[in-house]
Amino acid sequence: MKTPREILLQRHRAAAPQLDAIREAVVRELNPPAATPAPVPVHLVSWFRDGASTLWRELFWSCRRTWAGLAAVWLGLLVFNALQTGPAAPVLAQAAPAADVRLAFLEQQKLLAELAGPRLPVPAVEPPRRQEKPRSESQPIIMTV
Amino acid sequence: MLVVAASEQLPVAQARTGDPEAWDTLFRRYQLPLYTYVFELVHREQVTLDIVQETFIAATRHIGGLREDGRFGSWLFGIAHQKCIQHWRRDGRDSTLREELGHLPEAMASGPDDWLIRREAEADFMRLLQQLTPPHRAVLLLHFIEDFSLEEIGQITGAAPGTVKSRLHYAKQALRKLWEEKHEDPT
Repeated sequence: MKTPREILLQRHRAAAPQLDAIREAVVRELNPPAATPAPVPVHLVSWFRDGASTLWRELFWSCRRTWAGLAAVWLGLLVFNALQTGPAAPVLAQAAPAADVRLAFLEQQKLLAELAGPRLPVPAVEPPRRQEKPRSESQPIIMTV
Repeated sequence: MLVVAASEQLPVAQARTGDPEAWDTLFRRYQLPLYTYVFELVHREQVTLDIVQETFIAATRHIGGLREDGRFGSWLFGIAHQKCIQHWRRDGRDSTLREELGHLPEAMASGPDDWLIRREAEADFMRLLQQLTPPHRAVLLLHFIEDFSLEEIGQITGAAPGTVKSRLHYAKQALRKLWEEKHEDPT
């Protein structure tokens, strides 16, 4: 003799392995109590730290000689640039056109103007004047399209 | 004898803190009764497993909504019952659940252990159980499986205690009548 409960549970006992799997999956999703209040920033910090480490290892450390060479070239350029900055102003001052060069330029301009000849004044064309008569005498313009 | 949650020391307080071991103990205790209850309502294995899983997940997320630790069992079954209703709604069987019962006589005072069924009659018992309407089957299953009180069954199914009492009585009476038609003595 069995009670209804015993009959019902016995009937579905075969589902126990699947239920165990479901239970374990749900429980696995739960974090342990100590880890539950883990703040998000710690996660982010570790993420950034790992990312920076990977970036350093993959991008810089693997071709460190190339980066060192590039750095040396840039340093050389910086030094060269710093050395060139001082005497640059006198050079610019010296680069101003001399008076005789300016005089020759003006003469060339004058000669060019003579060759081109004098400019004739162009008579201005007057716009056609409207026929002045009373508005009542004027013919209406009908435009058809 | 029926072992029910009232006499057990379940680690509900620890589960509230998110203790996985506590949840494991709770789920281990209720997984088979819950599966049985849901399966006998929906009759589809995969749907039943899905509902049980959804119930477990919902329980871990909404344990804060449980007022009394001693009511964990009925609270868990209540979640599962709601999932069953959602499943029925998707299947368009909601009208069956909302079926209203007419006037019924007073419920019998027999407990779930008053029914003792012979081994050769077990299949008949299961078959007769399926002949009941879902609302009646639900209250009878909750009564049989976990011996929940009328109030607890009311909380699980969302029905008033008076309605639960009527349904339980009707279900028992109908089952007994069907049983007597097949067997001379139900005990």
